[in-house]
Amino acid sequence: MAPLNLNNSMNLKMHPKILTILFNHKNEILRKLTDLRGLHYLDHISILLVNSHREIIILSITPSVEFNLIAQDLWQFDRSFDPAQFSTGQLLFWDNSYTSEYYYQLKYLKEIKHNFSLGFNVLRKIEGFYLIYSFATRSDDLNLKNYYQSIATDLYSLGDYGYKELRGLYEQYTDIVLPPCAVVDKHVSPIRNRLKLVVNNK
Amino acid sequence: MVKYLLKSRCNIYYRRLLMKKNDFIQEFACRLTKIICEKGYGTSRSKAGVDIKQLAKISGCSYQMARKYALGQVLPDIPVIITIAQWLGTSPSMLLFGENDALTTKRNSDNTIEIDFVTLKYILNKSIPLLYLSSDSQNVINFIVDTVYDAAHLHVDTQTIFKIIDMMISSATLLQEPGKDNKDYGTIKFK
Repeated sequence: MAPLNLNNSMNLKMHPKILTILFNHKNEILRKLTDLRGLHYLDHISILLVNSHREIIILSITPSVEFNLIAQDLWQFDRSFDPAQFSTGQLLFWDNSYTSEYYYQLKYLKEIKHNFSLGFNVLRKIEGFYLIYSFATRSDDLNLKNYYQSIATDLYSLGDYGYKELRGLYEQYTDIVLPPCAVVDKHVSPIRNRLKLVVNNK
Repeated sequence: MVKYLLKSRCNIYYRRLLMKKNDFIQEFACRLTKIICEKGYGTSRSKAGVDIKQLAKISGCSYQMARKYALGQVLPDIPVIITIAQWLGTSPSMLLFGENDALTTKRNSDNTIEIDFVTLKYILNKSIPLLYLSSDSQNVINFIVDTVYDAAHLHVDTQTIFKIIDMMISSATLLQEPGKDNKDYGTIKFK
């Protein structure tokens, strides 16, 4: 399977049935991902899959977050939908991913409307597929960005868990063979092998 | 019918997409000054026609910056827009987009969800079968609350919201009745 060429990110498109997909499986997604809610103060989780047709399929525990952007075509001005915008192992904060022309519209629809204090995505690339794990919190802790950056490995694990739970649903909407769960298990997080700095204050 | 409604809604959004940033800021300023005047803070002494000093005080910014807000030269940051909206007794959505949300969609800081009566009644009516189909009432309640949340936060017309509610409720009834055929609710399309 040829990997995606995402140099021109505007080639990405939503799956033709994306607006239906978001709500057709509400109950199943809620049941399967509800355990993740509350972990690390997370209130919103969604998993975005980009297949080799450059089609985006999203399954979300709070589908209204994505729906409002897609229904108004604003997602194209939100770089967090675009795998090419991610740095390896780094969190892409929603706030930094809106293009300036539509910053306020996106900020309002995606964050303020839902009372999210922080939203961010992480990218997982597996065998020509891109999985974007999207998270948001309503926590009012001031140090959230540092906190989530420090637990990035856990966030990948949460996303992998969610993907494995929802893989069967993705299969209904793509004729392409998806990465098997075992591949996700074996996949080493891009940040896992980094050295850890330990400071001994004593 | 639904297609027609979606098409008309789509046109509104399409026009909005074409709107340049400067137009957007200008329109924001027009709505801001209009509402300020309605609240009794209009004055002929400033070019913008509103009491800039009062706006600066509320916004927590300089006189010059408040003047730029009122003249449509600068768009305030989101927290400032929220503060101004609260002062004026309106919503940030009204100041930014000139419309209140399709439904009242405010999640308050005390974790409450506001939703209009008709939509809530529609969801509850549609959810009645779930209470008979499932033995796990807590799961059903969680699902209904989540459905209410999503319905309250959709930025579309009421007909589309009802259609989406049907789909969400259907996703629960089909899980409870595995043998039941998938009812066709059509697809939601905007283009």
